[in-house]
Amino acid sequence: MTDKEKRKITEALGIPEPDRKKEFAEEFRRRSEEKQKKPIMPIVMRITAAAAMLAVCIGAITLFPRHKTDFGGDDNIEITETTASTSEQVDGVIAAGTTKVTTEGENSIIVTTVTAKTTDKNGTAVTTVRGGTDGEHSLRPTTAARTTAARTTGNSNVTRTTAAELPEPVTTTSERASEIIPTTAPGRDLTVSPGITYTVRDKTISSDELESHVSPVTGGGEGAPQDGVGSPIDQKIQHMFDISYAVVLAKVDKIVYTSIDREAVTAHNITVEKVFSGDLTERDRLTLFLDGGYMPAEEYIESHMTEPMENAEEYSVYVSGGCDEPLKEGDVCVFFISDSRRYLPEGAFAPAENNYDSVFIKRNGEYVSLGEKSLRFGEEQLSELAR
Amino acid sequence: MSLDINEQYDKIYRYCFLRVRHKETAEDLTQETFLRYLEHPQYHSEDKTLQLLYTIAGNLCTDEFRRIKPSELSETASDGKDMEDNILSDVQLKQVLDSLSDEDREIVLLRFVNEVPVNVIAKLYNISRFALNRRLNRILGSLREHLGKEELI
Repeated sequence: MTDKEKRKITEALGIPEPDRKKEFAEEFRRRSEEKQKKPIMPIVMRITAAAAMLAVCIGAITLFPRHKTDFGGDDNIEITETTASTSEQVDGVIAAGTTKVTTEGENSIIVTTVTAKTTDKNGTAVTTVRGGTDGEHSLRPTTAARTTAARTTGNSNVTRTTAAELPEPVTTTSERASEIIPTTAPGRDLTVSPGITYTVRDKTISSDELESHVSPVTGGGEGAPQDGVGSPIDQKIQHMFDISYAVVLAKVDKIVYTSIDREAVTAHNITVEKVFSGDLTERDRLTLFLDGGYMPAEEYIESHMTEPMENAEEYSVYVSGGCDEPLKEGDVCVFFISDSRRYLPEGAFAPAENNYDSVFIKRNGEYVSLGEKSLRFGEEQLSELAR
Repeated sequence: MSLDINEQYDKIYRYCFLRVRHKETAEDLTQETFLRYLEHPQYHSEDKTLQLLYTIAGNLCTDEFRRIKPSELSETASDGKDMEDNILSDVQLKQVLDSLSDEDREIVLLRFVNEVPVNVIAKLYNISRFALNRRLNRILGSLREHLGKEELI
């Protein structure tokens, strides 16, 4: 809205100029300054109290007795050899009893149970240690032995498990090792699905036609005088840039008609092609909600009108969002996006400014707002703002 | 955020005048709004600052409106304005504005004259941005129809 239009509205509203502005402004500044001056003593006292509290906390932490667990400090590595005799080898689990166990170290008995399928290529062996008694030896659990790595070698008959003496990296073979894992991220999927979705019926009617007593919306800017170059229009673009969470060039992939608070809105799934500002990256996919769209006529009438319409169930009502040409799938536009998500599904985005004012489509070498047609800029201008 | 008193005084005053329709009362309420604002912690966000200002002003206007009987309030004519000097379209525009509901008229002032952000107005009136946008588009369409006609003259 131009200054001239604002003046006209102000005059039409009949608002007189205030008389006491100047005097009050001085008084207000004086009181503001008084409020900002803070006495030094309370600050000093606060700092001192904070330092004392910190000292008490540190003292409590350092002097508090700690419980130390004695691990024995024994880093003995026990070498355990187990032999497993296999009788019939069947697919699946081979259950083998351990016939002989030898161990070096202190008195202990180690029972090894092979529980996994053993093939020529790979195999696993599980070594369990448990204490107890048997007829000959009194058992006690071994002290914790540090085994840095285990290597399993196997043939069809004998599986030997040895504790590695030197640290070695554990290798794991996998049948899926040959699969190629993509090294570059494909872009984040930030899209959301609206709870309610509508399909457009064969018969449509605009909300203006339906209500009939409202004059057609002119598109929120059509007919308004265009401002000159280098004046408020640039400031508006700059302002829109400054308040946006992100400014992106993106392609519309999918359009879903839905409603919020019984008002028709349209969810646009877009894929980012270029980022001018903000925390989004190329190939990110997100959902942007714009005012306007299609909704079932009977729902619209229920919430907006007092009189019913015959055969309403056969119609979809089109509600203009202040745009003569709503977006279509495949359109590539510059979007000024806000992350202010009040009333929107979690994770959804909204336009930074008034609805389609924040959406710019390329025409004749420059980007033009779909809402406020006087808003436009060249690509070089946007790149300048991004710096 | 430090408040620009010169800019915001006029805006809050216009809002108060539209609510109470009395010049002296509107100025008193405007000043009271800013004094009460000083008692609150300062916000860094401009939107929150504006929301606080208009909430205080709105509450004061509501209290004042309830306190004073409607008959005591009179619509103050514009200072020194000769109605015969008004061109036809201004009168038509005034008629269009008068035909709006009180709330729509306030929204027109807040959005189009005071340039309050949409999300702040939506919070003040407790409606969604989408409902507000639709309302604004409808009002703007009616207004532009009259403003646009004048531009062609």
